[in-house]
Amino acid sequence: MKSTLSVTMRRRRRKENLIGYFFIGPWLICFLAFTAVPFVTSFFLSLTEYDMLSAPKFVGLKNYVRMFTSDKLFRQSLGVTFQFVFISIPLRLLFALIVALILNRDSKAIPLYRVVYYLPSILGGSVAVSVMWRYVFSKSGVLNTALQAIGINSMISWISNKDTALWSIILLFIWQFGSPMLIFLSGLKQIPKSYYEAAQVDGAGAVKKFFYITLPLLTPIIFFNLVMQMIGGFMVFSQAMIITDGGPMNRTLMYALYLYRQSFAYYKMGYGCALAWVLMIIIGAFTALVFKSSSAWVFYENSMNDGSSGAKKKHRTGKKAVRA
Amino acid sequence: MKARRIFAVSLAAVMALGTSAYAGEAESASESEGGATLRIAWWGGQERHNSTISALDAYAEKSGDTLNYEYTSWDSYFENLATQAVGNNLPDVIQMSTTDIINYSKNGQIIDLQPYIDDGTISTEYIDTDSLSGGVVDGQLAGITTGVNSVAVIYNKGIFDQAGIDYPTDEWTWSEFIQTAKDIYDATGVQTDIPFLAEARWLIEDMVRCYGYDFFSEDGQSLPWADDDDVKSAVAAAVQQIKDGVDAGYFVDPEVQVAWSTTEENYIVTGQSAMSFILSNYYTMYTTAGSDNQYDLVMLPKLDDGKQTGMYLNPNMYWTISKNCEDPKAAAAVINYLVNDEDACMTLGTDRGIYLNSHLRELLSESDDVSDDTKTVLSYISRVQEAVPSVNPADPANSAEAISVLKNDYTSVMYGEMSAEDCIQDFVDQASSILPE
Repeated sequence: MKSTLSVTMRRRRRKENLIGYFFIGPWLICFLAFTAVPFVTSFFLSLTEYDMLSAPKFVGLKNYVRMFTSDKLFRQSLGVTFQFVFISIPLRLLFALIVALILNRDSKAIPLYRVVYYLPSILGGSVAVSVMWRYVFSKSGVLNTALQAIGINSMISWISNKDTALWSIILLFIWQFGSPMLIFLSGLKQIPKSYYEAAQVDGAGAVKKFFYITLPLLTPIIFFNLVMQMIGGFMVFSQAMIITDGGPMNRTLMYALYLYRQSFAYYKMGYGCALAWVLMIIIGAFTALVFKSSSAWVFYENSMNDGSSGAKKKHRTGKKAVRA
Repeated sequence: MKARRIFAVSLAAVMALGTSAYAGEAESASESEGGATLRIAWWGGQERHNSTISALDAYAEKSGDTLNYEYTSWDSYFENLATQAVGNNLPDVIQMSTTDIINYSKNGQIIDLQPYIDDGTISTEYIDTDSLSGGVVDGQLAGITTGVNSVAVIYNKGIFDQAGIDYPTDEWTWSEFIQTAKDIYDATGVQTDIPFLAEARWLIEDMVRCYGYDFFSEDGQSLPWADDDDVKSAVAAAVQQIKDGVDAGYFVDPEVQVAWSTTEENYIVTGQSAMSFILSNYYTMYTTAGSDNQYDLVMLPKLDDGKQTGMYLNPNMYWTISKNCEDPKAAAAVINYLVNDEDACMTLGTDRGIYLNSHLRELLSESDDVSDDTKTVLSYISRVQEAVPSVNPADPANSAEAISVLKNDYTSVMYGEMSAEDCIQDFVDQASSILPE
């Protein structure tokens, strides 16, 4: 009796498992085919010379040795990419936060604003916007025309000047602050209003409210955004490819662009794979660093229960009342 | 048990695929009674697709061959080909680029075409056999050049008239060129483009050729002029003269010139530049965009101390036959049609470069359907060919990376970030480590 029951149960469980696998099947297959297999393959290819036409030739660590000893452009592209990431990511997050704070109000127009501010992010990665950027920042472009209108006679071609070219790409990247902004916005909505009311009663001003309530409670969101944006920042490619093509004089040669050139312009797939692995290790190291540091500056709400339990309880009872 | 079943099912699937492939082959074999079945691949824009299809359709009708077309844009073309090469499934006739032919030939993916010239399938009656040298890789004729182009100086006649300066001739020298640029600027305020800022290789190659050197050695492992200090200092001096002109204002500001992305932005089109160094196959593009101006072509100036002209002909692209082709003779006949046939020539025009076939060139230059600008290019190429009969070989395997070093260094000189001597020396040094890899 007992055993038959367990058999049917087991059967049912197996059936459930099968259904589960069936539903994640498409993702699983894609993950294996387009992520896991290429991931492993690329590691082996990074130890070879491979031009896509003949079979890969095993060369051991030669690609890595070349990278760290004789490849000037590897160092150049790494420098450019670090510069780009360390300037553009903080600015992008700051910008996203400011706009999120502005939009965090009760107004009927808010959904519209959200769409408007998110729009650059949707368009941003696309080729069309990068082409547009060329026209904005070229010598006879929109920016110089606008500067002229306010009396500044600018003859700089921003995208081809060696000092400003990288900044034009950084600016494009900052302009696409939509997705961190939306995440900030939802984070701001999570902060219970009662805190602000309590602070108000205690006589706190807007600045104090921001630094003592908003910012600490937003740190998990900042943390998440920082990690995601940093990973994206290290892999920036299309903007540099289309706006400046790495120039002038490799001042905007992003790491991913250099990797692409080695692989698809010079047909050095093995070297390209080695570059990709080094990039992965760099991104991994920085992500680990941020995670490690997070215990010092990220506050999760449940770790400060003392302060919030009252408010939470109130919240819950309120909900119950509605349900009843 | 389960594993075995999966194995059985997948084996069955493989078998089924195998038989269907067999069926396909059987079909084509039966068709070959009326002619061969050939797959022909090329990249290009819509115009090239249309003209190539109509030319090949006419051939298919005449010969009884069945032709299947595989045409794409440039972007995905070589990724497709590489995949097909891995699967031993390359098309029979392949349009090949100058940068890729070496790889395909060295890896045995495309076959030697000399036998089909020897047996007359590909006629060389009107083709100077020297000019076929552009398709030779390791002593094998890997590809038949579809057409050639060359480096050239395009100049705006109106600006020369306005400045009261005579048009340049094919015999002019480097210092005459610099002087002309300066005089025009002094007389009219019109600048001249920095020579080949976007692809310095075309300029430096011409300069070293003035001293009788090839740009790359025959085996592609080195620069034959790397140890000749006279050549290096002459080239550096010429580059320095350009930089001086940039500083004095008679050459265009490099920051402006690198930012040009469309034809319409080029100063030679807008009338703000008197001369520009170009590849001859872009000539009609500029004249069409700048239709208000009158243009002409002249050869690159010879370095003053050079022994000879630095001019040369470049293959535009090639027709090749893959090792997977089952009827190479029929494929060679298609290539012969594409490079030698009058009707094909009138349909295709000069889209793939100026024909090697002198008879077709005459035909085009006498035809009323051909624009005057195209005729200018035709006569220009004929002039260059008289001066230098052989066609440049394809670029060696690692050349793309070395060439990008040169481009970068040359740009740095114009930006004032590097001296002209350092630019040439750095390129020589880096090429010596990049090329043999």
